[in-house]
Amino acid sequence: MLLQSNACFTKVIRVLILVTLVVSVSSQANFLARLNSQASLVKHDISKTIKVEFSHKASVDDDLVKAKLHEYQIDDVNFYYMDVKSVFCGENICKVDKVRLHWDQFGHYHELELGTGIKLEKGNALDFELEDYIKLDQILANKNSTLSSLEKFELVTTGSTESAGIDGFSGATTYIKNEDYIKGAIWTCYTLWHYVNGPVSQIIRNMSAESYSVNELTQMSTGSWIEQHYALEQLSAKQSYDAKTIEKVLSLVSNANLELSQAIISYVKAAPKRVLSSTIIEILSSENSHIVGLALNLVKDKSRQDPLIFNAEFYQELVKVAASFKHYPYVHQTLSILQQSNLQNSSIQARLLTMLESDNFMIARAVYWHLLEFSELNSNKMMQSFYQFNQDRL
Amino acid sequence: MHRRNLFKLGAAGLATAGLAPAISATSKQAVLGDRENDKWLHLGTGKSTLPNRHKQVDYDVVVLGGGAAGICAAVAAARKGSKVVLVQDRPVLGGNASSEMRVHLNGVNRLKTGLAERETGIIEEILLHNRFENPQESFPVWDHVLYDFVMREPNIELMLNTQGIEAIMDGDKIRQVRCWQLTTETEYLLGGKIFIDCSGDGLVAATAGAEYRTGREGKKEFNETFAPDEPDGWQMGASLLMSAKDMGKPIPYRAPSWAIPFDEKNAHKRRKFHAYHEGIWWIEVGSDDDIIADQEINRHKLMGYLHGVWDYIKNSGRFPESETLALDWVGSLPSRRESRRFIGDYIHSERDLTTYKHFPDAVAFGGWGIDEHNPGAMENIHMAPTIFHAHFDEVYQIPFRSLYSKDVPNLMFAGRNVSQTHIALASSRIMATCALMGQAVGTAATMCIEKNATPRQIAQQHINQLQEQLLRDDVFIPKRPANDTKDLVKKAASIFASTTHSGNAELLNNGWSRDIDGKIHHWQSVGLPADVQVEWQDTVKLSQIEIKCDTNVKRNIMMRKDSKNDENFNNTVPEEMVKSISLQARVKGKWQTIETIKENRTRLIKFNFDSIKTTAVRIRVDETYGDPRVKLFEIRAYS
Repeated sequence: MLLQSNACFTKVIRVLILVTLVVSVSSQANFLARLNSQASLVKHDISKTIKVEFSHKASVDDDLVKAKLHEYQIDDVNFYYMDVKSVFCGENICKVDKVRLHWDQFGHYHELELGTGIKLEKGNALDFELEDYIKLDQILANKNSTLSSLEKFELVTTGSTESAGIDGFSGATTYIKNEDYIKGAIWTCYTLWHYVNGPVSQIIRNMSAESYSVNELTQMSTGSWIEQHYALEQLSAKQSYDAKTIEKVLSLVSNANLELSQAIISYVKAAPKRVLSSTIIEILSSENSHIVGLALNLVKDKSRQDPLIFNAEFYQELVKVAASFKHYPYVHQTLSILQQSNLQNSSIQARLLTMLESDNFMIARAVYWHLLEFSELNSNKMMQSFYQFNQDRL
Repeated sequence: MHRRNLFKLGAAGLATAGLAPAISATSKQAVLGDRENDKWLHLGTGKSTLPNRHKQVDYDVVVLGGGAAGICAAVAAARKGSKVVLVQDRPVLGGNASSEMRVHLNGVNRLKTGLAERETGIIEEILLHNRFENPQESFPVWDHVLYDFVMREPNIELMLNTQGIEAIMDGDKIRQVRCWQLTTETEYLLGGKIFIDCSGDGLVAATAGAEYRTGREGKKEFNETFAPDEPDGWQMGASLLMSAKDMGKPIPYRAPSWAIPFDEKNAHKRRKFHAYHEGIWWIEVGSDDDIIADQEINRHKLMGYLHGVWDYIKNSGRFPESETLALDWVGSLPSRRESRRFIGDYIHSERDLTTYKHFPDAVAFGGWGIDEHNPGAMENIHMAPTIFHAHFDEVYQIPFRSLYSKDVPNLMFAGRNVSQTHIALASSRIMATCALMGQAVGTAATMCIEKNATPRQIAQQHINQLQEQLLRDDVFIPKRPANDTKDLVKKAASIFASTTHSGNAELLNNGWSRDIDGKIHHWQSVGLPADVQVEWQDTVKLSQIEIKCDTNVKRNIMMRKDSKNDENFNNTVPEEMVKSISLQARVKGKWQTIETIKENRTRLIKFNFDSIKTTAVRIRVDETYGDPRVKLFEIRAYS
């Protein structure tokens, strides 16, 4: 029987487990020996401990969970752990064990530890087998799990043969992938997944950011995708919108793929008013098609929420940039923003009039319809000329 | 006059009313309804008379068999404008999936990828209709869902309890089908231009002289690796299902006198009892001879085997959990897998499936594994009940040439009786696959009438038009993207979306209506509401916009006895499907709302409106059935 030794502390190391999936039988035997060794919970030099309170989807009566979060270092890199109860059980018939969860500095699941003699349990009072621990490890590491959208009322104790009265889920409305839970232990999976990927993850991201200076975060923004995303998020959280930081972020724009473009736009979205307009105009002036559309959406959303957030000067700049858009949908979006802003001054109209001569007829036509409806330029010579020349295509 | 009064009025009444289809006086060929010896005193009139038990009605298309294939054939032909009669020999529609038999309406449930590649078109529309109208997943209610689906088509006349028993020929063509309506003691002669036999056994087609075969081909004939070395007469059997419910207290069971004890000692280990309370498919009996002639003998055997197995479950002591179970429903009508297979211009065979052969006349697809049930079934209890010879990586094509008779020029088929080998049948017999064949031949039938052409001429001269029509009607044909020259979105200068989470709005015009072969063919929004705009350089006249939205074809939606709900099976309306959608058009620079659909229920969403002259249309989606994003696969526009 695996994990049987009463005297031992059992540690499940994610990396090791994953290796056992593909390595030879002898390597697996090594791993099992470690599981059954006398090792206790790994002791770490704790650099910081904070008390945290957070919501948990499985929490009874939706009470906040109170816990201690510990920070430690491995090779100067921050890691975190928290001791939690293995399961919130809806009907108080589950066996509750102490579980130690570890995260990396980015708030991503790192590993799970169990204390001496502790074995997680599934249906019919059966202990977890090795493959169940392996699967649990994969479940916790999957941020996109279908457990994320599952509500606790959808988890029920069915008493059916399959779930053996321990835990299960109602087949009536629930949609959950098999890969996202262990049969007979869905409450455990659900509880631990929401510990790992719930609010604690963001608490850790913010906590670890305290050890980074703005300069370090700015440097990190050119690193791996995980680092870039983290750096942009934390620069935003620290309200780091000085010229140097913005310049560094803008340097990412030209080669940003869709995901990075979204992270950049999230950073810009939280910018103070004083730099928001100019930063957006800088982005719109780029030729990266991923980010221009996102930036226009940001302008539209922002101006819808706060009509005064952008001034006339911004809209003049916007139209100036839009006059060079080759892609018709961006012009369409720009005109939609102008209509929403209800700002139609002569400078903007003059710039728009030049767009009647665009090589792209759809751009010219959209501008024509816009000016006809939102300006007094219907008797303007360019407008009349445009109509005369294109009336069959309007 | 309400059209449903048609059969109440009788021939004279209809002639007076001047209705089409025309009903003539009793045919000289009518023979079954002769009632010259009746001695009937009608107390209401005080007169002695003879009952009128002959009727003759003409239609464009006569469809025999009201299972999944027949329903789809009838609906397809009717929607294209043909006057159709659907003849079903049972009191309910649905064939093997009806409440009389309760077989799951399977399709391409799971490829080797682990995912479904679900059928769309009419069969999906039926299954979605069931999700709305029958959330309780009742088989008897499902019968009525199907009834509703057929009855709401104005061009279909449905005749239940009516069996087509003989083809009346005009040269090599079928002119009429002689039918017997059990409940009214009436003989009908149903005339038509095109006849579609979806009855499974194919009695009418057989009497028309269409060549058919039964049994298993030998390996050599079609170079089939899974076929027996030499041909033989074996046909896969029919099954009899049952269901049990938990009564919450011990319920004794005593087998009836005619039960056949379950031979536990010799039973093959793969005769498993998993979920036995929902029926056991391997309670099955086949034949190596004339399986149709054997049906009543086999039915009796099956009833005996069923009770024998249930007696074993209840009283052997091996299933203690069965103590409180009681039979809730037992079938009396076996669900048939195989009998006649008619010969067309092409015989579909094993290698066509396993090599994913490309057919220029492909009109349908399959993908259920080659699931050959063993000869004899329960009568060879020591054998495994089935052998899955092969599973598929992707779906395979079914050619139109295998769906019409090579001998009878106005006869087509859909379902298990099409032109194929026994081994090919072992895969294609699945009901949703049969339904795709049905939609193909139903659509072809109307084309035959419009063009005064035979099905063979459709295959030879008009196959592109047939395929394009099927694709427009949301049938998926593997490796065959749509390219409809009448679709004005093909001429659009720009297609763009308000937001994009995945895919690209321009993919809505690429001819593919699902993500397939590892490629994305969709646009998905970031959130809702979201809109897609199609814009033309010049003005266009439009009166139809058609949209194909996501219903997650990688997840099954058929009703199951266990109401399964996981990554492969869904027991509700797909959350991805569009619920609320509106169409706007820009006319002379002003945006106008053309139509809003608040409670959409189909994957193919149609807007039909008075013709407008426009330069752009905008499709706005406000809500799905749960997904916070919307995913679309296609937008089409027609003048």
